[in-house]
Amino acid sequence: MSDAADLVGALDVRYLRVLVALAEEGTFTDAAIRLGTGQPSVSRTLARFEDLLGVRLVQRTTRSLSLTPAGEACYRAAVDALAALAGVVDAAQGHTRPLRLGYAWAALGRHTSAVLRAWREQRPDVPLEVHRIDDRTAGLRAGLVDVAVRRDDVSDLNLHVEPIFEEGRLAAVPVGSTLAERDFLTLDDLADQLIALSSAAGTTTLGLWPAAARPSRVIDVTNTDEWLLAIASEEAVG
Amino acid sequence: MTAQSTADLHSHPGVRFVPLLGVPGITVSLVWPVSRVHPALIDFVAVVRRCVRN
Repeated sequence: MSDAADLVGALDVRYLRVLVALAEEGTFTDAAIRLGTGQPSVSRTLARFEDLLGVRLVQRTTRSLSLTPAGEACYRAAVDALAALAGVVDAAQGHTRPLRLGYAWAALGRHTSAVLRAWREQRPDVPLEVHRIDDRTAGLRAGLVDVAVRRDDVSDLNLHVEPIFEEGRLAAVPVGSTLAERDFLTLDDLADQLIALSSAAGTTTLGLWPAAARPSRVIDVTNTDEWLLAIASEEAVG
Repeated sequence: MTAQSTADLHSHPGVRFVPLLGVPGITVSLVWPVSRVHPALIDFVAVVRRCVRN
């Protein structure tokens, strides 16, 4: 049996990454995708980690996995350790790693350009990269961004959610339609229309309507451009 | 059925945005993974809050 110092010397950062990815993704397949490797490699790395520690960290079942109590404790410690290692790299590079902001739809609205300007003034040392990513998690899931703007209900314990502001909802209708002459609309006014929405990236689902009054005709678009075009062409409302 | 922010950022000559009544509002949040916090993130959240207040 090695003593603790020897075990630390034998640790590989990949062990920590694999444990964190498994804990947060929930399957070997998704952990492998996050790490950009194959499932056999994830399994092998985890097995080596468990052999080294002499403890089982992950309980495998046919369809999914769960962490053992030791795995849970190790996961939390691994998160801290990886953050500390990232801090070493940041210190060496003078904190110049860009901050990547993702959004799927409408970013921070009318505040967006003010935020970009204020950031350039306050932290000229850290470039802010803004990416539109046509995915509900706005790139968080794939690890493409450091922080994302979200308008959906996030119930993932691995994510911190910081509410920033509240906003109202609008209907988007073709300018030539009678709906466009109204001062306001209700869901009932729109239920018999073809509805353009984006199941991948949008802020609205048919769940907004009561089950009995749900629109029957829907066109699924990928992003804001396609959505605006479907409405402007008088094909749909959104 | 979209957020106010969509109208603020995306105008189109063929599209009119009309207020929608009787529906819940939308909460806009910043979200990040607890396991990978960018060193400048706290500053960023503060800048966003200040801009939204003004």
